[in-house]
This record gives sequence, C-alpha cells and structure tokens, in this order.
Amino acid sequence: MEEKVLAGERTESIPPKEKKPKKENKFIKDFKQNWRLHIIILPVLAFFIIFSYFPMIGIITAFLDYRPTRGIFKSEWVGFKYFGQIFSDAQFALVFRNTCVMACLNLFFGLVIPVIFALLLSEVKIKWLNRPIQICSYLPNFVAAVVVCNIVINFLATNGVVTNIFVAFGAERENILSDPKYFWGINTVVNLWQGMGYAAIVFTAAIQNVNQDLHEAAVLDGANRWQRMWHITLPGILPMIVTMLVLKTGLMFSTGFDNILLLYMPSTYETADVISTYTYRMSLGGGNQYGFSAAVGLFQSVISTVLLVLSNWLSGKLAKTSLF
Amino acid sequence: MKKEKSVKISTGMVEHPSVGRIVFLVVDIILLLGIAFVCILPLWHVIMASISDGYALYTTKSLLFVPAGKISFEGFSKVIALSQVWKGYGMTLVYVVSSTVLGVFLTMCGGYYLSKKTLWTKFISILILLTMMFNGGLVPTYMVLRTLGLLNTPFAIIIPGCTNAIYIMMAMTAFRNVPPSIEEAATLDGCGHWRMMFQISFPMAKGIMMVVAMNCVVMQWNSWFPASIYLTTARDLWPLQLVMKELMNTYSESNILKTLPIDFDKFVIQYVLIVISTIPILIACPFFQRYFGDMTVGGVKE
Repeated sequence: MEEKVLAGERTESIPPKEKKPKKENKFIKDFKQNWRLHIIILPVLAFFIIFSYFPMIGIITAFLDYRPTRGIFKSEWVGFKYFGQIFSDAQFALVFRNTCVMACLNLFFGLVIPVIFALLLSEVKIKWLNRPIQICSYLPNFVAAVVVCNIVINFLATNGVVTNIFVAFGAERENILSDPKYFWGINTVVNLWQGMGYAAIVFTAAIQNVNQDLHEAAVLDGANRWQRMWHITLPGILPMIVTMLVLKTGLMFSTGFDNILLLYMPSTYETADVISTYTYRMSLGGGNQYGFSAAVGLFQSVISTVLLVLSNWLSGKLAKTSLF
Repeated sequence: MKKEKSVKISTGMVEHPSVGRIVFLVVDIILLLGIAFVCILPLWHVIMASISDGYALYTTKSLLFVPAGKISFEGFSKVIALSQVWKGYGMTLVYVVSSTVLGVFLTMCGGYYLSKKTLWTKFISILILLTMMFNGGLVPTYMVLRTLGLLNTPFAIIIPGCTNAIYIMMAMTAFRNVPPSIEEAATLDGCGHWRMMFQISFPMAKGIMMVVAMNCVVMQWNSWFPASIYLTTARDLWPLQLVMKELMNTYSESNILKTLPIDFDKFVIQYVLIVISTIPILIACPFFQRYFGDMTVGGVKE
C-alpha cells in the first residue's frame, strides 16, 4: 500500500540545529544563498500578514470598550469584562449549545454518510451507471447557499412541497422553518444534501487506490465481501477518513454559517443561533457591541484551535496519521 | 487516464456472482439511484418552475416534474428587464476572474516555495499553517479592511479570501512530486526560480492547481456574505448572489400577494433567478471534473 505523504512530515526532516548561537548566522547565510527563492514567498507572506495576522492584532478589541469613532488606541481598556459577560450571558449558553450540537451533527453525518455512499458506489462497477450517479450527487455542492436556502424556504413554507408531504402524514400545517424544534434536523439535512457527493469524491478515489492484490489474496483465503470491506477497504481509506475528520473538526465551528444566517429567523433563535451568527448580529449586523463580539470571536477561535490540535494529536495516536 | 487503467486491471479478478451478491447489487443500485434522484430533484423542480405559468405555479403546490400549466418564458423576460441582475452578473465575473488569477498565483508561489527545503521554509510553513487554526474573526478582519481603505472597493471582495493555508499545502504536495532531476536539469540550463515555477513545475502540478482554481471560482461565484458587510454603500459593486438575495425578498410570495392586483407572473421570477445564476456554474463544473482525480486533501496524497 502506498504510504501516505503528509504535509508537515517532510519539513520535519530538516536537520535540527544543534547549537543556539549558530542559529542566526545560519538563517542569514541561508537567506544570502537563496534570496532569489525567498523573493517568491514575499507576496504570499504579505497576504497572510495583512489578512490573517493583522486581524489578530484586532483581537485586542475584546479587551477594549471599542467605539469605531475612537479607534483602537483611544478606546477605553476594560480588561476581561466581556469575557465575564460571555459566561454570565444566558443567551450565550444557548448559542454555545446550538453551535456544539449542530457542529457535531454536521461532523458526524458529513463524514459517515459520504463514506457509506462511496462504499456503495464502489461496489457498482458499471461505468455508465456509476459516473452519472456520482455527477448527480456532487452537483448540489456547486449551487450557491443563497439559492439552496431559498429553495429550502420555499419547500418548507406553510404551503410548500415538503410541508404538504408532512401534512399528508398527519402533521399540523405550519411554516416548518419557523418551528425551533425542527431547525437542527433541517440544517443537518441541508448540509448533507449540499456536501455529501462532493465529500464522497475523495473517498471514492481512495477506495479505487486500495491495492487490488490484497483483495485477490483475501478472496483466495476465503474472505467474503463484507470481511474484505471491513478488513481491507476501510483500513485502506482510513488515512483519508482521519484527515477529513481532523480538517472538519478544526473547521466545525466556523462552517455552515452561511446557511444558518440565511435560514434562521427570530422565532428560531433559541435553537438556530450559533456563535458566528451571534457575533455577526452583535457587531456588524447592527448590534454595534464590537468589544463583546470580538471576545466571543476569540473564544470561538481558541476552541477551534484546541479542537484541531487535539484531534490531530488523537488521530496521530490512534490511526498513526496526522495532518501536520 | 491512469486511474481508469488501474481499474481495468483490477477487474481482471474473476468472481462468480452468487445470488446474494446479485440481490445486494440490485438493492445497492436502487439505493444509489434514489440518492442521485434526491440530489437533483430540487434543482429539477426549480428549472421546471422557472418555465411554468405564474398562476398555475401559485396553485400547484407539489413537486414539479413537468412545468405547471403552459410553458411560459414570461419570467425570463421579466428578469432580463432587471438591470441590477446584469450588473451583478458583470461584477461577479470580474470578482471570479481576478480572484482566481490572484489566488492561483499566490497558491503557486506559496506551494513552490514550501516545496523547497531551506532553513526558512519550515518557519514560514508554520507561519502559514497557524492561520488555518487561528484567525482574527469577523470584526477584526473588517477593521483591517477599513484601515486599509478597502471597504466599498472591489478589492475587499477580490483579495481577502483568494487563497488559504489548505490550498498552499495542497500545492506544496503537488510541487514536491515534481521529479527533482527535471528541476536540476533546468537549473543547469540557467533556469531561474520564477521561470521554473511557471514553465516547469506549474504544468507538472496542473491537476492540483486546477482543483485550487475550481475552488476559487466556485467560492467567488457563490459568495454573498463578504459583499454584504464590505460593500454596504457601494451597491453598484454587489455580486450576483447578493443582488439575488435581495430580489428573492422582493419577489417572495408574501410580498407579491401584498400588492393588488396580484401579478401572478412574478411568482416565477424567484425560480428564474435561481436558474440563471446557477446554470453557468453547473455547466463549468464538468470542465473541472477530470481534475477531481487529482484532488488531495490537506496534503495527503491518496
């Protein structure tokens, strides 16, 4: 089986520097030697410094009574006031719960269903059937969130297509989207519809790349299909699954924002509001509580980082595969 | 191409299908067809609705497999008359093209650089990787753009999201797979880094770069949120999706029913908007499809 080549692994093969004092000289020498190469990274570095690192300076507003008219330097320092406010805020507790629940639902279904789909698809070796099914499955990924959510809003309206089906089965006629108890389910299904086929592409490719000799050997040893799937195909695509898991865990709190923002409404805030929509409403969405919003954003960032590092470490331990 | 060959070899193994196997395959295929069906059904419904007759569409509230009422292109002619839709279209094209070009260029530079081994590369790769985990968040990013004076200019849409750490890691992996001997040969022939990047490494890592380009295109085509916060006063610069979002509200059912006499043709407009904004990207995606095989995630080569 082909060994997985990991992003960070090769960079680590640079020989570690033994002595501290020599370090600086080495770097300068290296720069002089390779300056033509180093020039290439300058635009990229500028991009990341301006659009990723400068905003991190802006995190300081989480500790300020920030007023846009006064700017960062003239705003009053309030220390950890907003963080105290976060934890005593009853609404934030709800928001945090919603974020966790929806992120976990998306993470779980967004990983398990595509893998199952890819496994089912790989069993069908008829090309003229296989290809169109796959194309149909990933088409929704290319449809804009605005469009998807508009379709959802239409389908779930009081006299929408889906509502009619529900009513036929005895449910009460209502705007399903305005009922808080359905929002988690709706959000999960919408995300699944959008992303399932596209997420399955990498798994289908990985399944195809599993060494076929292993399958032949297993057949000779009398393994049935189920055993082969369990003992050959799944371990073969495990590195891919783990990578996707780590990636999705790191991003789980920040994705899905578009859909929620387009689908929720004041009547469903109690289940639909998540950290990113809450931050948005508090700040640019009209709330003007920039400091508080930045504090919530920082809180979210810290959790994401911890989750990413943790899941990366765990996957390194459990599956011997880590992202970096 | 390569992949198809290996599949052919793999089917060299002959197995006689048992009854259970055939039953499984039949169930499997039905299930898969069902999934495919569910995936395109809403889109089909929208397309059919867009060429329906307005009144018939308003009265029929079930999934449309064929247009409701007579086929009518009234909705299309109404939308064509909306000038903001075409303005939005134009701006979206500008954003898509410039953001993709810039994004691919930056990704290529980053990937090429990180694929080389110098003392600095590791440091810089960590610097770039960190941005994947930690970001300033909505408000600080907004403030940086405001400080730079980019608010309400097209650059606020084009530049910020054009590349990210994941793309660069993907490009890095691709560039590392370029055989060193070719690069050495080019260096001996007096080829500098820029030329090497454009003329040797880039063509050899084309698959991944196309995946990056595709992601940029799709992301920009579908984006509306950045524009809604960065282009608040410059409505002329709004991309199509944001224009659509607003028009969808204007032409929502409840709004149409408010104005008397009710113009039933307006019910079709929402669907027409969806169709004209979605068809281009759906047509473009088979173009990228042959590169899907090259798709790797976060630097893991399948």
